[in-house]
Amino acid sequence: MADSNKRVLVAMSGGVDSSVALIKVLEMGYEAIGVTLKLWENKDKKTNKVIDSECNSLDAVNGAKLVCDRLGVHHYTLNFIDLFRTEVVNNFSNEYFEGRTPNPCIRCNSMVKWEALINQLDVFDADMIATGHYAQIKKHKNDYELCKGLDKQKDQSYMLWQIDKKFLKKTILPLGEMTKTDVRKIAQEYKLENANRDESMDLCFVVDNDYRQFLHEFIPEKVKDIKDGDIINEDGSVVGSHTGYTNYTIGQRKGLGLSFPEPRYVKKIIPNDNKIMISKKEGLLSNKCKVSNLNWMKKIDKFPLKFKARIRYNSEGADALLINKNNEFFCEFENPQLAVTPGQSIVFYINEAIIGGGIIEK
Amino acid sequence: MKKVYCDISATTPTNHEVVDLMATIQKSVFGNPSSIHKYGQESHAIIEKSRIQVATALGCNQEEIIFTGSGTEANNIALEGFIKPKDHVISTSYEHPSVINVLKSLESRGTALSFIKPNKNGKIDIKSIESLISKNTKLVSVMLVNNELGSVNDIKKISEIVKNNNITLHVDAVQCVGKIPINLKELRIDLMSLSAHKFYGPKGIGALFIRKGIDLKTTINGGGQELNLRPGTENISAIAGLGLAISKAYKNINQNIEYVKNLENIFIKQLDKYKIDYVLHIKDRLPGVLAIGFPNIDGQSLLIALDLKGVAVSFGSACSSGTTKASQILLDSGISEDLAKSTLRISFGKIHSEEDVLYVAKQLFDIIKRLKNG
Repeated sequence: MADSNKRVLVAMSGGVDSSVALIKVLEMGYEAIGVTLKLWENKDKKTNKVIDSECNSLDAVNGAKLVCDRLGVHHYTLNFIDLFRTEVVNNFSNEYFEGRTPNPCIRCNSMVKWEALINQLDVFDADMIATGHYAQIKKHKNDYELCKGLDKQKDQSYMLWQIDKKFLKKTILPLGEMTKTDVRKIAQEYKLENANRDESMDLCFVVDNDYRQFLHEFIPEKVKDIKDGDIINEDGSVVGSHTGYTNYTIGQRKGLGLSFPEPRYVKKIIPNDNKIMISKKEGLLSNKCKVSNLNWMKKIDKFPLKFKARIRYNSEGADALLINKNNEFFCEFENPQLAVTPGQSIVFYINEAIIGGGIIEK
Repeated sequence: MKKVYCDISATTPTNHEVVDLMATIQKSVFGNPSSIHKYGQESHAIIEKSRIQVATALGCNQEEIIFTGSGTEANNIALEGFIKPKDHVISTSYEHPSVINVLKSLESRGTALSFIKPNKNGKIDIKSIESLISKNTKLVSVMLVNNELGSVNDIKKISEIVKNNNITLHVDAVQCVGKIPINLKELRIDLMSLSAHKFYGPKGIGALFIRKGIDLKTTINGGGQELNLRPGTENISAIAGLGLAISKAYKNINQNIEYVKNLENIFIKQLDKYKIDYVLHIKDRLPGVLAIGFPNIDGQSLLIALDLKGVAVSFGSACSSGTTKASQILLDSGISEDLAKSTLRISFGKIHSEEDVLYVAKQLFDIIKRLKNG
């Protein structure tokens, strides 16, 4: 039984996972307060009315409010729109203009969901925060480790690598040791209205997951300057034309408008020359990458470091070495990896624990 | 935990005698007031009794009162019903959305509008109204008490100027009916809106005063009820609730005002005793309504922290809550953006005791100390 004098802020999206997280926090004996973060408003251009995106919708907020009310818990909606715009959305659009592919949800987790929410603890006279992520925080003596969730299918630890380590001791992840099936069962036992509603996988600020249209509306003056350009082969020969380099991501196959006997993929985006380089699937393989913006969950003294690298959310993890050259970090993969994409996150695991992570560079 | 509801300006708890009356009517009276038979007559009598109660409380004739679904609906019926496309209308920038948004909609259909901002006392300068009057000015719409500031406009003087220029005056009195005396015999108001839930009556029922001789066109079409201005089968129990609530509100109005003013003084003295840094924005205000800034403290954070201690107040008006932007109304009345973001509306009423207001002051003291040290 936890200290019932402790008060926990539970981040509620209105979906089944965060609702069950709230139930678990209460079962642990804490006093809970539900908070929903308002991060964005999309407006319909014609009517100027707010259109709610999946993960931020009125339905979701009302869902969270209903669950809190049922459990006798206070609920507040906190407006973080300005912070979200400066820390997450601006970065998202800048990254695309630099020909990179960002992970806005990871940035949002560290800078908004954790940092901003922990800054609110004082206001609520609360001690900790909790979220419905499938990941675990394990305590060894006085150290805290961020580990994979028990449910391998749902593990979300990859999304949390950028969180400041010092926040781990103020965080509860009640779903870390649960499977999605367990979570649904609890939701059904409690007859939660949203028992069968899934957490959204879409970007909350992008309507219909159409990021190209989003960029068009968010920074029209910059998008205007993005012109058509050449699609080139690895040898530099022109094989077609593209509609503006921000419309493409590394590894993309569809929508290139090319006809080759074998499929071609986007290998490289070269904003300075306004070119897109394509290759066969093998051409997407690479042995290494540079890593920037490192965040450590464990203190590492000895390099090179052997670890399992995840370069995307649902990847298995690949054996790799992390090399430190005068505080510049490079990752060498034991086997070549497909579409190692600049701007995406690379997360270092040893067994179940996250050692650290960073952003993939060229 | 002790609970103190200090958001009387947002809504009031329904008086229990009013609840009992409404429950009795709900259980036993169901006839359609338009029916000729006895069932209908019984329902009809309840409505007319309530109309007399409203007319008595406000000093007007019962034929001059129609019941509406809310204060918002009363404002809509008055403005949409009176204003014609080519008219010029003078109003204020701090009206309730049920006035501002109707006027903006009319503007898109050809009406000319002038909006006046409040002065630093939260009032509308009479000279500003005078200077905007032109030969096309057909209506002036000014709220009696502002919902966020609690400031009271000098409606008597405004009505005199309006009358001298042969212009019609609409007054949104939702915030203050039942809280200060209003005598429509003395005040030359032509159209006035009110809402029962602001004076310990039920929600979902309001009324509009329409001075004899003022012609409103029908904006909702139906079976002709309420002078064909608010057709639809009447909500009998809510109408009865409004009638009883307004009678009760005006029964001891002067005593209630003194009582609430005294609570306010006790509260302010206690803030001084705790040496809390505060700015009281409006001097001449509706008794019990305090727009009060706590410098360097985030208003929304303070609201949440108070709520967790059982004290309910508001930040901005209830209708625009949910945003952390500074209230435009506070900014318009000359309050700096920082101070506006630190401003709460604390509203006391006759339901409160001395112990209640002392509890609120103590919670403010504890929370502000914590947030400053945090």
